[in-house]
Amino acid sequence: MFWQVAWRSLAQRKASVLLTVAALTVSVLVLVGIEHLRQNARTGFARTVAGTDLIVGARTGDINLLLYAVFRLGNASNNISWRSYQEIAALPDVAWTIPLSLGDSHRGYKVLATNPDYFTRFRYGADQPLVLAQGRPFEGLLEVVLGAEVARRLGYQIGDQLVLAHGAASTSFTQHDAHPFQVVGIFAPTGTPVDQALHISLESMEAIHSQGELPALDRLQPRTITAVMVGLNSRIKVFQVQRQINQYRGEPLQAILPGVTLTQLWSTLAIMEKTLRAISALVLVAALFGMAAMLLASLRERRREMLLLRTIGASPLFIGALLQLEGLVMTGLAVALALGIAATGLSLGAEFWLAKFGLQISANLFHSATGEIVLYVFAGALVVGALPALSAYRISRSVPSGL
Amino acid sequence: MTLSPDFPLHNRAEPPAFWCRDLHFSYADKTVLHIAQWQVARGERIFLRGASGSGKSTLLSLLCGMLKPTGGELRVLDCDLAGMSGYARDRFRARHMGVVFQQFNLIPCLSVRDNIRLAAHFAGETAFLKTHLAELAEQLNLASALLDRKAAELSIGQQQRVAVMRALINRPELLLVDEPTSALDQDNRDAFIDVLMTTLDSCGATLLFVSHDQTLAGHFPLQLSMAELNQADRRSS
Repeated sequence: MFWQVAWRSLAQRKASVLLTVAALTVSVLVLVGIEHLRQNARTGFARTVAGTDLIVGARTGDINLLLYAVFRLGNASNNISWRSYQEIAALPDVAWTIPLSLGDSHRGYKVLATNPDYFTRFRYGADQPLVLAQGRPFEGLLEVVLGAEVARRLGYQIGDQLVLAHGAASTSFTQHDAHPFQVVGIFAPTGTPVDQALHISLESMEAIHSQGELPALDRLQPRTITAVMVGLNSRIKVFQVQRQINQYRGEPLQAILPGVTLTQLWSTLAIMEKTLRAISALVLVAALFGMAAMLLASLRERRREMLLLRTIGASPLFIGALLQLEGLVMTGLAVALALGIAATGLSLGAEFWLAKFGLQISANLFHSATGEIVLYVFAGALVVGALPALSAYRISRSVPSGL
Repeated sequence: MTLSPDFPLHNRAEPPAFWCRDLHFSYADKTVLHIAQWQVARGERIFLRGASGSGKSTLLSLLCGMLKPTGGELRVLDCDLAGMSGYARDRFRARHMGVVFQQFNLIPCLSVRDNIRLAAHFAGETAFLKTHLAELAEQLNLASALLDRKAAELSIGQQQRVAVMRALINRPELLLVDEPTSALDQDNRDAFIDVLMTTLDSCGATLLFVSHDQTLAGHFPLQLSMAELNQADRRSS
C-alpha cells in the first residue's frame, strides 16, 4: 500500500520526476563510469607485463620508459646501441632478454621488431605466455606475426601480403613498398598492447631500412634498438643488476622495475583520480539537492493530500516516510538507469578503449566498487531526502489547524 | 475520569457517542471555540448548521483528535483523546471515525479501490473490505466498474459517494461530515442525502452533519446551530 501511494504520487508528477531522475542518472553514471574505467585501466596496465624483472632503455623518466616500451604510448626519446644490448645480455645474472625496436607502423598499428625469444619468454596477465591462434612465429626475412586486433580489424589472414610504413603516423609518405611482408602467424587475443602490434624480426626491420638489394641474413645486424626486457636468474639480484646497468659507461642507460614504476605512475595519477572523484561526488550532491528541492516544492501542492491522509488515520510519521520513500524510489530508478546505460556504453565503447589504449574494459559492472558507490548514493539520498521528509512530517502534524 | 454526581451526562450502560463540558479551543490568545456542555447519544443523526468561521472546522478537528482541546473535557466514544499518544489517536481515528469533507476526499492519482483500501490499511482491518466493498458500492449507487477508475476521473457526485464509502469501510461508530453537498447540484444533493441515510440505516453509526444549507435540515430529526453551541463568539463580540 505504502509503495503504491508513493509510486502513484510520483507518476502524477511525471515531468519533474523525470527531470530529477535524469539529473541523478547522469551523476551516478559519471561516478560509476569513472570508477569502473579507473579500476579496469589499473588491472589492464598491471596485466600487460608479467615475469619481466627489468626494462632497459635510454636514459629518460622511469614512467616514460615504461609507457613507450611496454604500453607503446608515446615515443622513445633515444635508442640504445646494439653493443650495449649485447653487454646487458651477457651479464652473468641475466637469464634472457627480449630486445624491442619500435618506429614503423602499418595503418596506425605499431610495428615491433624483436627476436624469437618474444614467442617463448614474454608473459602477460597471470604469467601467461603468448599463444599463436594460427600459423607460426616469424623465421625468415619479411615475415610478420599479427596481434589479434590487427588481424581482426584489418581482415588479414595467413599468407596475406602487407607493406609497412616508415614512422608511426597512420598516413605515412614513406612506405616500404619495395619490401612487402607476408603474414605467417596471428596471436590469440590477450587484452594487452600485443593485440595492437605487428611483430617482425630485428633483421627484417634492418633489411627494410637498408638501401637497394636485400643484404644477406647474417649481415643484418641492427645498430640500435628501443628497449630491452630483461629476465634474471634470481630476483634477489634485481637491484644489483639495475645498478650495474644504470652505471654502464658506454652510454647513458636506465633500468626500471616495471611493477615499481607502475606504482609510481598510479601515485602520479592519484591526484587527478581524486579530483575526478571529488567532482563526480559533487555532481551527485547537486543532483540530490535538486531532488530534495523538487520534493519540497511538491509539498505546497500536497497539503490537502496530507490532510486527507491524516484524516483517514495516517500518522505524521507515515507521511514523512512517504516522502523519504519517494526520494529513494527516484534514486533507485536513477541507479538502475545509470547502470544500464553504463553497461551498454561500455560494451559499445570496448572497441574504442581497446583500439586506442590496448585496454580491455569489461562491461561487467557488478563488482564491489560499483556496489560501494550505489550504497553511498542511497545513503546520500536518505540524508538529503530527510529534509523534505522532515518538512512533510512537520506540516502534516500541524495541518489540521489549517483545516 | 470521574463525573460529579450532580452532572449525570449519561447512563453507564450506553456511553454517548461523545460529550464535552466547558470545551475550549484557542489559537494564540483568541478563543475560537467554547462549548459549555454538549452530549450526543449513539445512533443520533444531527444537522449542525454553521457558516465558515463559526468554529465548526475546529469542532470537527477536535472530535476526530487532530487537535487537542486547550481547556475542558472531551470524551469521544468513551475515550479521552487528549490523553492518548499521537499515534494512538491516528489509529483511533482510522478505526472508529469516518470523515467526509466538502471536496478533495480522495487521492486523485489512486484508483477508487486503492483509496478505500488505504483507509482500511490505516485501520489495520482489510478483511471486511474484501467481503463488503461490492455491497457497499451497490448501496451507494456506484457501478462496480468505477472501482478501478482513478478517483480524479469520477464526477464530483460520484467522488462524494466514494468518500462516504471510504468513510464507512471500517464500520465507524462516528461519521463526521463537513459540507459534503456544497459542490453538488440540487439533484445530486438530494440523491446524496438519500443514499447517505439509507446506508446509515444499515450500519447504525452516529452522524454529525455540518452544513450551512438550511434546505437539507429537513432530512434530520435533530438540528442545532453553531451559533447556539459555540459561546466563544458571543463573548468576544
